Amino acid sequence: MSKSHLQQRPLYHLGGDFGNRTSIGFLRDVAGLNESHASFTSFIAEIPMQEYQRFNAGTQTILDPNESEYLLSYEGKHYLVGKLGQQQGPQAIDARGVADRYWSSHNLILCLNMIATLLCPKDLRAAGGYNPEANTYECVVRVATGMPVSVFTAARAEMVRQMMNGVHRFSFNGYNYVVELEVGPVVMEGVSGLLLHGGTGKNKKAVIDCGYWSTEILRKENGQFVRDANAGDAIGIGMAFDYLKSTAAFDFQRELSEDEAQAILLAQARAETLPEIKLYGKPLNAEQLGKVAEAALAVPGIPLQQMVAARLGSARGLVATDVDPVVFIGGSAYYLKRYVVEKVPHVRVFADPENANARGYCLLCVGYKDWKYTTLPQAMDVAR
Amino acid sequence: MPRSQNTIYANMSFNARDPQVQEAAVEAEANGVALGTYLKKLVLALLGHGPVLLLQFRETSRVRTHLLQEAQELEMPLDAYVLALLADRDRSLYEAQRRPASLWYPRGQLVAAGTVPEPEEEETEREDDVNIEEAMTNVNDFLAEMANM
Repeated sequence: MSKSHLQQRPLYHLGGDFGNRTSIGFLRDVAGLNESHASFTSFIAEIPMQEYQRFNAGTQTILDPNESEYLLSYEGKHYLVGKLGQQQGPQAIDARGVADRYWSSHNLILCLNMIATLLCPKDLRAAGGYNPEANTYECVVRVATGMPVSVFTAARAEMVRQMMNGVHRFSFNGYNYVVELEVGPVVMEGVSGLLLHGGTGKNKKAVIDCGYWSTEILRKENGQFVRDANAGDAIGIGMAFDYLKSTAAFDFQRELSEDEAQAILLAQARAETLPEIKLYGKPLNAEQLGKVAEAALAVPGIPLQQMVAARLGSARGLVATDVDPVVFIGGSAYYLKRYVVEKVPHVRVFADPENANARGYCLLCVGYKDWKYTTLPQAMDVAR
Repeated sequence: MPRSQNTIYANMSFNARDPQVQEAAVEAEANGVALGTYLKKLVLALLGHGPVLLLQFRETSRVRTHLLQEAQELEMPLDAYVLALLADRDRSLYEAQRRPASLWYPRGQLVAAGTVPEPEEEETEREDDVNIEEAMTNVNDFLAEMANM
Protein backbone atom coordinates (compact mmCIF):
# COMPACT_ATOMS: atom_id res chain seq x y z
CA MET A 1 0.00 0.00 0.00
CA SER A 2 1.60 3.26 -1.05
CA LYS A 3 1.79 6.03 1.46
CA SER A 4 0.56 8.60 -1.02
CA HIS A 5 -2.88 7.00 -0.90
CA LEU A 6 -2.99 7.44 2.82
CA GLN A 7 -2.36 11.14 2.74
CA GLN A 8 -5.12 13.64 3.17
CA ARG A 9 -7.37 11.21 4.97
CA PRO A 10 -10.48 12.96 6.30
CA LEU A 11 -10.43 13.74 10.02
CA TYR A 12 -13.41 13.65 12.37
CA HIS A 13 -14.20 14.34 16.02
CA LEU A 14 -16.12 11.66 17.90
CA GLY A 15 -17.77 11.86 21.30
CA GLY A 16 -18.39 8.29 22.40
CA ASP A 17 -20.59 7.28 25.34
CA PHE A 18 -20.17 3.52 25.48
CA GLY A 19 -22.62 2.54 28.20
CA ASN A 20 -23.11 -1.08 29.17
CA ARG A 21 -26.59 -1.01 27.69
CA THR A 22 -26.42 1.56 24.90
CA SER A 23 -23.61 3.13 22.90
CA ILE A 24 -24.19 6.65 21.66
CA GLY A 25 -21.84 8.58 19.40
CA PHE A 26 -21.79 12.16 18.17
CA LEU A 27 -19.57 13.03 15.24
CA ARG A 28 -18.37 16.37 13.86
CA ASP A 29 -16.09 17.04 10.95
CA VAL A 30 -12.56 18.49 11.07
CA ALA A 31 -13.93 22.01 11.43
CA GLY A 32 -16.16 20.96 14.33
CA LEU A 33 -19.29 21.30 12.20
CA ASN A 34 -21.91 19.00 10.65
CA GLU A 35 -22.96 17.10 13.73
CA SER A 36 -24.44 13.64 13.28
CA HIS A 37 -25.16 10.92 15.79
CA ALA A 38 -25.99 7.25 16.09
CA SER A 39 -26.82 4.76 18.82
CA PHE A 40 -27.05 1.01 19.20
CA THR A 41 -27.32 -1.53 21.97
CA SER A 42 -23.91 -2.31 23.46
CA PHE A 43 -24.13 -6.07 23.03
CA ILE A 44 -21.25 -7.92 21.37
CA ALA A 45 -21.34 -11.60 20.47
CA GLU A 46 -18.24 -13.31 19.09
CA ILE A 47 -19.14 -15.79 16.37
CA PRO A 48 -17.12 -18.58 14.70
CA MET A 49 -15.73 -18.28 11.19
CA GLN A 50 -18.47 -20.52 9.75
CA GLU A 51 -21.19 -18.26 11.08
CA TYR A 52 -19.30 -15.21 9.85
CA GLN A 53 -19.11 -16.64 6.34
CA ARG A 54 -22.83 -17.33 6.37
CA PHE A 55 -23.59 -13.73 7.28
CA ASN A 56 -20.90 -12.29 5.06
CA ALA A 57 -22.19 -14.07 1.94
CA GLY A 58 -24.81 -11.38 1.53
CA THR A 59 -23.83 -8.83 4.14
CA GLN A 60 -24.10 -5.68 2.11
CA THR A 61 -27.72 -6.29 1.26
CA ILE A 62 -29.07 -8.38 4.11
CA LEU A 63 -27.82 -6.56 7.21
CA ASP A 64 -29.42 -3.19 7.76
CA PRO A 65 -27.21 -0.66 9.56
CA ASN A 66 -30.28 1.45 10.22
CA GLU A 67 -31.70 -1.42 12.25
CA SER A 68 -28.61 -1.81 14.41
CA GLU A 69 -27.46 -4.94 12.59
CA TYR A 70 -23.69 -5.04 12.50
CA LEU A 71 -21.10 -7.63 11.57
CA LEU A 72 -17.60 -6.54 12.50
CA SER A 73 -14.30 -8.38 12.08
CA TYR A 74 -11.19 -7.25 13.91
CA GLU A 75 -7.84 -8.94 14.47
CA GLY A 76 -9.05 -12.30 13.17
CA LYS A 77 -12.20 -12.41 15.29
CA HIS A 78 -15.76 -11.88 14.15
CA TYR A 79 -18.49 -10.16 16.12
CA LEU A 80 -22.18 -9.47 15.83
CA VAL A 81 -22.81 -6.08 17.40
CA GLY A 82 -25.95 -4.21 18.39
CA LYS A 83 -29.35 -5.82 17.98
CA LEU A 84 -27.88 -8.83 16.20
CA GLY A 85 -25.44 -9.30 19.06
CA GLN A 86 -28.22 -9.04 21.64
CA GLN A 87 -30.16 -11.74 19.81
CA GLN A 88 -27.36 -14.24 20.26
CA GLY A 89 -28.59 -15.00 23.79
CA PRO A 90 -25.94 -16.37 26.14
CA GLN A 91 -23.16 -15.50 23.69
CA ALA A 92 -24.05 -11.81 23.91
CA ILE A 93 -21.86 -9.78 26.24
CA ASP A 94 -22.66 -6.32 27.54
CA ALA A 95 -19.85 -6.24 30.12
CA ARG A 96 -22.26 -5.04 32.80
CA GLY A 97 -20.40 -4.27 36.00
CA VAL A 98 -17.01 -4.96 34.44
CA ALA A 99 -15.00 -1.88 35.35
CA ASP A 100 -12.06 -2.63 33.07
CA ARG A 101 -14.25 -2.67 29.96
CA TYR A 102 -13.43 1.03 29.54
CA TRP A 103 -9.83 0.14 28.68
CA SER A 104 -10.50 -3.28 27.14
CA SER A 105 -11.11 -4.54 23.63
CA HIS A 106 -14.86 -4.54 24.42
CA ASN A 107 -15.08 -0.75 24.29
CA LEU A 108 -12.61 -0.59 21.41
CA ILE A 109 -14.93 -2.77 19.33
CA LEU A 110 -17.90 -0.61 20.28
CA CYS A 111 -15.89 2.45 19.27
CA LEU A 112 -14.87 1.01 15.89
CA ASN A 113 -18.45 -0.10 15.30
CA MET A 114 -19.67 3.40 16.14
CA ILE A 115 -17.22 4.99 13.71
CA ALA A 116 -18.30 2.71 10.86
CA THR A 117 -21.96 3.32 11.71
CA LEU A 118 -21.46 7.07 11.54
CA LEU A 119 -19.08 7.09 8.59
CA CYS A 120 -20.65 5.07 5.81
CA PRO A 121 -18.65 4.18 2.67
CA LYS A 122 -20.64 6.66 0.62
CA ASP A 123 -19.73 9.57 2.93
CA LEU A 124 -16.08 8.54 3.25
CA ARG A 125 -15.75 8.16 -0.49
CA ALA A 126 -17.19 11.67 -0.95
CA ALA A 127 -14.75 13.00 1.66
CA GLY A 128 -11.74 11.45 -0.09
CA GLY A 129 -11.36 8.57 2.33
CA TYR A 130 -11.53 5.74 -0.20
CA ASN A 131 -8.31 3.94 -1.12
CA PRO A 132 -9.00 2.17 -4.43
CA GLU A 133 -5.73 0.21 -4.41
CA ALA A 134 -6.59 -1.55 -1.17
CA ASN A 135 -10.37 -1.16 -1.47
CA THR A 136 -10.43 0.33 2.02
CA TYR A 137 -12.23 3.27 3.60
CA GLU A 138 -9.76 5.31 5.63
CA CYS A 139 -10.03 8.16 8.09
CA VAL A 140 -8.56 9.69 11.21
CA VAL A 141 -10.83 9.98 14.24
CA ARG A 142 -10.13 11.98 17.37
CA VAL A 143 -12.12 10.68 20.30
CA ALA A 144 -13.33 12.00 23.63
CA THR A 145 -15.10 9.68 26.03
CA GLY A 146 -15.94 9.16 29.68
CA MET A 147 -16.15 6.69 32.51
CA PRO A 148 -18.18 6.55 35.73
CA VAL A 149 -17.16 8.64 38.72
CA SER A 150 -16.57 5.49 40.77
CA VAL A 151 -14.11 4.16 38.19
CA PHE A 152 -12.43 7.35 37.06
CA THR A 153 -8.76 8.06 37.80
CA ALA A 154 -6.19 9.87 35.69
CA ALA A 155 -4.22 6.63 35.38
CA ARG A 156 -7.26 4.77 34.04
CA ALA A 157 -7.97 7.58 31.60
CA GLU A 158 -4.44 7.02 30.29
CA MET A 159 -5.14 3.28 30.02
CA VAL A 160 -8.13 4.09 27.78
CA ARG A 161 -5.80 6.10 25.52
CA GLN A 162 -3.21 3.31 25.46
CA MET A 163 -5.86 0.77 24.49
CA MET A 164 -7.46 2.75 21.71
CA ASN A 165 -4.73 4.88 20.18
CA GLY A 166 -3.30 3.63 16.90
CA VAL A 167 -4.29 2.43 13.45
CA HIS A 168 -7.04 -0.20 13.38
CA ARG A 169 -8.00 -2.35 10.40
CA PHE A 170 -11.39 -3.96 10.48
CA SER A 171 -14.31 -4.88 8.27
CA PHE A 172 -17.86 -3.74 8.91
CA ASN A 173 -20.89 -5.17 7.10
CA GLY A 174 -18.68 -6.20 4.20
CA TYR A 175 -16.64 -3.01 3.87
CA ASN A 176 -12.98 -2.69 4.86
CA TYR A 177 -11.94 0.19 7.08
CA VAL A 178 -8.57 1.59 8.18
CA VAL A 179 -9.06 4.04 11.03
CA GLU A 180 -6.47 5.88 13.06
CA LEU A 181 -7.79 6.63 16.52
CA GLU A 182 -6.43 9.09 19.01
CA VAL A 183 -8.18 9.51 22.33
CA GLY A 184 -7.90 12.93 23.93
CA PRO A 185 -10.18 13.94 26.80
CA VAL A 186 -11.41 11.13 29.06
CA VAL A 187 -13.70 12.61 31.69
CA MET A 188 -16.19 11.62 34.36
CA GLU A 189 -19.66 10.75 33.08
CA GLY A 190 -22.07 13.54 33.81
CA VAL A 191 -19.62 16.37 33.12
CA SER A 192 -21.29 16.93 29.76
CA GLY A 193 -24.60 17.78 31.39
CA LEU A 194 -23.16 20.97 32.81
CA LEU A 195 -21.04 21.73 29.75
CA LEU A 196 -24.17 21.69 27.59
CA HIS A 197 -26.85 22.96 29.94
CA GLY A 198 -25.08 24.51 32.94
CA GLY A 199 -24.80 28.07 31.67
CA THR A 200 -21.63 30.14 32.07
CA GLY A 201 -21.99 31.68 35.56
CA LYS A 202 -19.89 30.76 38.62
CA ASN A 203 -22.92 29.80 40.72
CA LYS A 204 -23.31 26.36 42.27
CA LYS A 205 -24.47 23.79 39.75
CA ALA A 206 -25.11 20.08 39.74
CA VAL A 207 -25.83 17.30 37.31
CA ILE A 208 -27.61 14.00 37.90
CA ASP A 209 -26.74 11.44 35.23
CA CYS A 210 -28.93 8.35 35.51
CA GLY A 211 -28.38 5.63 32.93
CA TYR A 212 -29.68 2.08 32.62
CA TRP A 213 -27.64 0.65 35.48
CA SER A 214 -25.76 3.51 37.12
CA THR A 215 -26.12 7.06 38.39
CA GLU A 216 -23.52 9.80 38.75
CA ILE A 217 -23.99 13.08 40.62
CA LEU A 218 -21.46 15.87 40.08
CA ARG A 219 -21.30 19.33 41.60
CA LYS A 220 -19.63 22.46 40.35
CA GLU A 221 -18.73 25.51 42.45
CA ASN A 222 -16.86 28.66 41.41
CA GLY A 223 -16.55 27.30 37.90
CA GLN A 224 -14.84 24.08 38.97
CA PHE A 225 -16.06 20.55 39.64
CA VAL A 226 -15.90 19.68 43.33
CA ARG A 227 -13.96 16.45 43.32
CA ASP A 228 -15.05 15.22 46.77
CA ALA A 229 -18.71 15.90 46.05
CA ASN A 230 -18.87 13.64 43.01
CA ALA A 231 -20.49 10.26 43.48
CA GLY A 232 -21.57 7.21 41.55
CA ASP A 233 -23.92 4.37 42.47
CA ALA A 234 -25.55 1.32 40.88
CA ILE A 235 -29.00 2.84 40.39
CA GLY A 236 -30.77 2.89 37.03
CA ILE A 237 -34.02 2.22 35.23
CA GLY A 238 -32.74 -1.27 34.35
CA MET A 239 -33.78 -2.23 37.90
CA ALA A 240 -37.37 -1.28 37.06
CA PHE A 241 -37.29 -3.27 33.82
CA ASP A 242 -36.03 -6.34 35.67
CA TYR A 243 -38.60 -5.99 38.47
CA LEU A 244 -41.49 -5.47 36.07
CA LYS A 245 -40.57 -8.42 33.87
CA SER A 246 -39.98 -10.83 36.72
CA THR A 247 -43.13 -9.75 38.60
CA ALA A 248 -45.30 -10.02 35.47
CA ALA A 249 -43.94 -13.49 34.85
CA PHE A 250 -44.57 -14.56 38.46
CA ASP A 251 -47.91 -12.83 39.12
CA PHE A 252 -49.52 -12.99 35.68
CA GLN A 253 -47.54 -15.87 34.07
CA ARG A 254 -46.83 -13.49 31.20
CA GLU A 255 -43.36 -12.92 29.71
CA LEU A 256 -42.89 -9.25 28.77
CA SER A 257 -40.63 -8.22 25.93
CA GLU A 258 -38.23 -5.29 26.38
CA ASP A 259 -40.46 -3.14 24.17
CA GLU A 260 -43.58 -4.02 26.18
CA ALA A 261 -41.81 -3.28 29.46
CA GLN A 262 -40.64 0.05 28.07
CA ALA A 263 -44.14 0.99 26.91
CA ILE A 264 -45.66 0.08 30.30
CA LEU A 265 -43.05 1.93 32.37
CA LEU A 266 -43.16 4.99 30.15
CA ALA A 267 -46.96 5.15 30.26
CA GLN A 268 -46.91 4.77 34.05
CA ALA A 269 -44.23 7.46 34.40
CA ARG A 270 -46.37 9.83 32.34
CA ALA A 271 -49.64 8.87 34.02
CA GLU A 272 -50.97 7.78 30.65
CA THR A 273 -53.18 4.80 29.83
CA LEU A 274 -51.14 1.61 29.93
CA PRO A 275 -50.80 -0.38 26.72
CA GLU A 276 -53.02 -3.45 26.51
CA ILE A 277 -51.07 -6.61 27.35
CA LYS A 278 -52.77 -9.86 26.44
CA LEU A 279 -52.40 -13.24 28.06
CA TYR A 280 -53.68 -16.10 25.87
CA GLY A 281 -55.70 -13.52 23.92
CA LYS A 282 -57.29 -11.84 26.95
CA PRO A 283 -56.10 -8.46 28.28
CA LEU A 284 -54.41 -8.34 31.67
CA ASN A 285 -56.10 -6.32 34.41
CA ALA A 286 -54.84 -2.78 33.75
CA GLU A 287 -55.20 -1.69 37.37
CA GLN A 288 -53.09 -4.57 38.67
CA LEU A 289 -50.52 -4.03 35.94
CA GLY A 290 -50.40 -0.33 36.84
CA LYS A 291 -49.65 -1.18 40.47
CA VAL A 292 -46.82 -3.45 39.43
CA ALA A 293 -45.45 -0.78 37.08
CA GLU A 294 -45.60 1.81 39.86
CA ALA A 295 -43.75 -0.52 42.20
CA ALA A 296 -41.19 -1.16 39.45
CA LEU A 297 -40.49 2.55 38.99
CA ALA A 298 -40.02 2.90 42.73
CA VAL A 299 -37.26 0.26 42.73
CA PRO A 300 -34.71 2.69 41.26
CA GLY A 301 -36.79 5.83 42.02
CA ILE A 302 -36.54 5.68 45.82
CA PRO A 303 -32.77 5.00 45.99
CA LEU A 304 -32.24 7.75 43.42
CA GLN A 305 -34.19 10.16 45.62
CA GLN A 306 -32.07 9.16 48.59
CA MET A 307 -28.85 9.57 46.65
CA VAL A 308 -29.90 13.02 45.44
CA ALA A 309 -30.86 14.06 48.97
CA ALA A 310 -27.57 12.79 50.37
CA ARG A 311 -25.36 14.34 47.70
CA LEU A 312 -27.11 17.66 47.18
CA GLY A 313 -28.65 18.11 50.64
CA SER A 314 -27.57 19.86 53.80
CA ALA A 315 -27.56 18.68 57.41
CA ARG A 316 -30.86 20.54 57.86
CA GLY A 317 -32.45 18.25 55.29
CA LEU A 318 -32.79 20.91 52.62
CA VAL A 319 -31.82 19.75 49.15
CA ALA A 320 -30.08 21.83 46.47
CA THR A 321 -31.67 25.06 47.67
CA ASP A 322 -28.64 27.11 46.57
CA VAL A 323 -27.81 25.04 43.49
CA ASP A 324 -29.07 26.25 40.13
CA PRO A 325 -29.29 24.70 37.67
CA VAL A 326 -29.65 21.07 38.64
CA VAL A 327 -29.62 19.21 35.35
CA PHE A 328 -30.97 15.67 34.97
CA ILE A 329 -29.48 13.73 32.03
CA GLY A 330 -29.39 10.09 30.94
CA GLY A 331 -32.13 7.87 29.52
CA SER A 332 -33.64 7.25 32.97
CA ALA A 333 -34.80 10.87 33.02
CA TYR A 334 -37.73 9.79 30.86
CA TYR A 335 -38.96 7.54 33.65
CA LEU A 336 -37.71 8.93 36.96
CA LYS A 337 -38.01 12.70 36.75
CA ARG A 338 -40.86 12.89 39.23
CA TYR A 339 -38.83 11.15 41.93
CA VAL A 340 -36.14 13.81 41.58
CA VAL A 341 -38.69 16.65 41.38
CA GLU A 342 -40.00 15.66 44.83
CA LYS A 343 -36.58 16.55 46.27
CA VAL A 344 -35.39 19.12 43.73
CA PRO A 345 -38.41 20.99 42.35
CA HIS A 346 -36.31 23.09 39.97
CA VAL A 347 -34.50 20.16 38.34
CA ARG A 348 -34.24 20.63 34.58
CA VAL A 349 -34.51 17.97 31.92
CA PHE A 350 -33.69 18.97 28.37
CA ALA A 351 -34.59 17.33 25.07
CA ASP A 352 -32.89 14.00 24.36
CA PRO A 353 -31.32 13.61 27.81
CA GLU A 354 -29.77 10.28 26.78
CA ASN A 355 -27.55 12.08 24.28
CA ALA A 356 -26.05 14.67 26.61
CA ASN A 357 -22.86 12.79 27.51
CA ALA A 358 -21.85 11.87 23.97
CA ARG A 359 -22.75 15.28 22.61
CA GLY A 360 -20.67 17.01 25.26
CA TYR A 361 -17.73 14.66 24.66
CA CYS A 362 -17.85 15.58 20.99
CA LEU A 363 -17.58 19.28 21.82
CA LEU A 364 -14.70 18.50 24.19
CA CYS A 365 -13.02 16.73 21.31
CA VAL A 366 -13.45 19.77 19.07
CA GLY A 367 -12.09 22.14 21.73
CA TYR A 368 -9.14 19.94 22.77
CA LYS A 369 -5.74 21.20 21.52
CA ASP A 370 -3.24 18.74 22.92
CA TRP A 371 -3.39 16.07 20.20
CA LYS A 372 -0.12 14.15 20.05
CA TYR A 373 -0.35 11.96 16.94
CA THR A 374 -3.07 13.18 14.65
CA THR A 375 -2.64 16.36 12.70
CA LEU A 376 -4.17 17.66 9.52
CA PRO A 377 -3.41 17.71 6.71
CA GLN A 378 -0.87 14.97 7.13
CA ALA A 379 -0.24 11.40 6.14
CA MET A 380 -1.62 8.64 8.30
CA ASP A 381 1.25 6.38 9.20
CA VAL A 382 -0.22 2.91 9.16
CA ALA A 383 3.01 1.41 10.40
CA ARG A 384 2.85 3.16 13.74
CA MET B 1 -45.64 -2.10 -39.42
CA PRO B 2 -42.67 -2.50 -41.79
CA ARG B 3 -39.57 -4.09 -40.24
CA SER B 4 -35.98 -3.03 -40.71
CA GLN B 5 -33.92 -4.94 -43.24
CA ASN B 6 -31.70 -6.06 -40.34
CA THR B 7 -34.53 -7.84 -38.61
CA ILE B 8 -33.94 -11.49 -37.89
CA TYR B 9 -37.01 -13.64 -37.46
CA ALA B 10 -37.06 -16.55 -35.05
CA ASN B 11 -39.98 -18.90 -34.98
CA MET B 12 -40.64 -20.74 -31.75
CA SER B 13 -43.26 -23.27 -30.79
CA PHE B 14 -43.95 -24.65 -27.31
CA ASN B 15 -45.85 -27.47 -25.75
CA ALA B 16 -48.77 -25.71 -24.11
CA ARG B 17 -48.85 -28.41 -21.38
CA ASP B 18 -45.31 -27.64 -20.27
CA PRO B 19 -45.73 -26.14 -16.77
CA GLN B 20 -42.89 -23.66 -17.32
CA VAL B 21 -44.46 -22.45 -20.53
CA GLN B 22 -47.75 -22.11 -18.70
CA GLU B 23 -45.96 -20.13 -16.00
CA ALA B 24 -44.42 -17.85 -18.62
CA ALA B 25 -47.88 -17.30 -20.12
CA VAL B 26 -49.24 -16.33 -16.70
CA GLU B 27 -46.33 -13.95 -16.13
CA ALA B 28 -46.84 -12.41 -19.55
CA GLU B 29 -50.48 -11.84 -18.75
CA ALA B 30 -49.56 -10.35 -15.37
CA ASN B 31 -47.24 -7.96 -17.18
CA GLY B 32 -49.96 -7.04 -19.64
CA VAL B 33 -48.10 -8.25 -22.74
CA ALA B 34 -48.46 -11.09 -25.21
CA LEU B 35 -46.46 -14.25 -24.55
CA GLY B 36 -44.30 -13.57 -27.61
CA THR B 37 -43.40 -10.05 -26.39
CA TYR B 38 -42.63 -11.38 -22.93
CA LEU B 39 -40.35 -14.10 -24.26
CA LYS B 40 -38.62 -11.54 -26.45
CA LYS B 41 -37.84 -9.51 -23.30
CA LEU B 42 -36.35 -12.59 -21.66
CA VAL B 43 -34.20 -13.29 -24.70
CA LEU B 44 -33.00 -9.68 -24.72
CA ALA B 45 -32.18 -10.00 -21.01
CA LEU B 46 -30.10 -13.07 -21.81
CA LEU B 47 -28.22 -10.93 -24.29
CA GLY B 48 -27.74 -8.19 -21.69
CA HIS B 49 -30.41 -5.77 -22.89
CA GLY B 50 -33.76 -4.54 -21.62
CA PRO B 51 -35.26 -4.05 -18.16
CA VAL B 52 -35.09 -7.69 -17.04
CA LEU B 53 -31.97 -8.80 -15.17
CA LEU B 54 -30.88 -12.41 -15.28
CA LEU B 55 -28.39 -13.47 -12.62
CA GLN B 56 -26.13 -16.45 -13.16
CA PHE B 57 -24.90 -18.57 -10.27
CA ARG B 58 -22.74 -21.63 -10.17
CA GLU B 59 -24.66 -24.82 -9.53
CA THR B 60 -22.93 -25.08 -6.13
CA SER B 61 -23.11 -21.39 -5.28
CA ARG B 62 -23.23 -20.79 -1.53
CA VAL B 63 -24.69 -17.34 -2.04
CA ARG B 64 -27.56 -18.75 -4.08
CA THR B 65 -28.18 -21.45 -1.46
CA HIS B 66 -28.35 -18.88 1.33
CA LEU B 67 -30.59 -16.62 -0.70
CA LEU B 68 -32.91 -19.54 -1.40
CA GLN B 69 -33.06 -20.48 2.29
CA GLU B 70 -33.80 -16.91 3.29
CA ALA B 71 -36.45 -16.53 0.58
CA GLN B 72 -38.10 -19.78 1.73
CA GLU B 73 -38.13 -18.56 5.32
CA LEU B 74 -40.06 -15.52 4.18
CA GLU B 75 -42.21 -17.62 1.85
CA MET B 76 -41.16 -15.50 -1.10
CA PRO B 77 -40.07 -16.57 -4.60
CA LEU B 78 -36.32 -16.23 -5.00
CA ASP B 79 -36.52 -13.55 -7.69
CA ALA B 80 -38.93 -11.42 -5.65
CA TYR B 81 -36.68 -11.77 -2.61
CA VAL B 82 -33.53 -10.73 -4.51
CA LEU B 83 -35.43 -7.84 -6.06
CA ALA B 84 -36.54 -6.69 -2.60
CA LEU B 85 -32.99 -6.90 -1.26
CA LEU B 86 -31.62 -4.87 -4.13
CA ALA B 87 -34.39 -2.31 -3.85
CA ASP B 88 -33.77 -1.98 -0.09
CA ARG B 89 -30.11 -1.52 -0.69
CA ASP B 90 -30.73 1.16 -3.26
CA ARG B 91 -33.25 2.99 -1.14
CA SER B 92 -31.84 2.86 2.33
CA LEU B 93 -28.38 1.38 2.70
CA TYR B 94 -26.49 3.61 5.10
CA GLU B 95 -28.95 6.42 4.75
CA ALA B 96 -29.17 8.46 7.91
CA GLN B 97 -32.34 7.23 9.59
CA ARG B 98 -30.21 6.26 12.56
CA ARG B 99 -33.10 4.72 14.41
CA PRO B 100 -31.94 1.38 15.72
CA ALA B 101 -34.45 -0.85 17.38
CA SER B 102 -34.28 -2.32 20.88
CA LEU B 103 -33.27 0.83 22.72
CA TRP B 104 -34.55 1.17 26.25
CA TYR B 105 -35.44 4.83 26.10
CA PRO B 106 -38.03 6.41 23.81
CA ARG B 107 -36.00 8.28 21.21
CA GLY B 108 -37.23 11.72 20.32
CA GLN B 109 -39.96 11.78 22.93
CA LEU B 110 -40.44 14.23 25.73
CA VAL B 111 -39.85 13.80 29.41
CA ALA B 112 -42.93 14.26 31.53
CA ALA B 113 -43.25 14.21 35.30
CA GLY B 114 -46.44 12.49 36.30
CA THR B 115 -48.73 14.39 33.98
CA VAL B 116 -49.29 14.57 30.26
CA PRO B 117 -47.79 17.90 29.16
CA GLU B 118 -49.78 20.46 27.26
CA PRO B 119 -48.65 20.94 23.65
CA GLU B 120 -47.30 24.42 24.50
CA GLU B 121 -45.12 22.95 27.24
CA GLU B 122 -43.78 20.32 24.85
CA GLU B 123 -42.75 22.96 22.37
CA THR B 124 -41.04 25.05 25.03
CA GLU B 125 -39.08 22.10 26.35
CA ARG B 126 -37.83 21.03 22.93
CA GLU B 127 -36.73 24.53 21.98
CA ASP B 128 -34.81 24.90 25.22
CA ASP B 129 -31.84 22.97 23.89
CA VAL B 130 -28.10 23.52 23.71
CA ASN B 131 -26.57 26.93 23.13
CA ILE B 132 -23.43 25.78 21.33
CA GLU B 133 -21.49 29.03 21.89
CA GLU B 134 -22.16 28.88 25.61
CA ALA B 135 -21.31 25.18 25.65
CA MET B 136 -17.98 25.81 23.87
CA THR B 137 -17.12 28.47 26.48
CA ASN B 138 -17.75 25.85 29.17
CA VAL B 139 -15.73 23.30 27.19
CA ASN B 140 -12.73 25.62 26.91
CA ASP B 141 -12.91 26.50 30.62
CA PHE B 142 -13.13 22.83 31.51
CA LEU B 143 -10.19 21.88 29.29
CA ALA B 144 -8.10 24.64 30.87
CA GLU B 145 -9.09 23.30 34.29
CA MET B 146 -8.16 19.76 33.17
CA ALA B 147 -4.73 20.90 31.99
CA ASN B 148 -4.01 22.43 35.40
CA MET B 149 -5.02 19.32 37.35
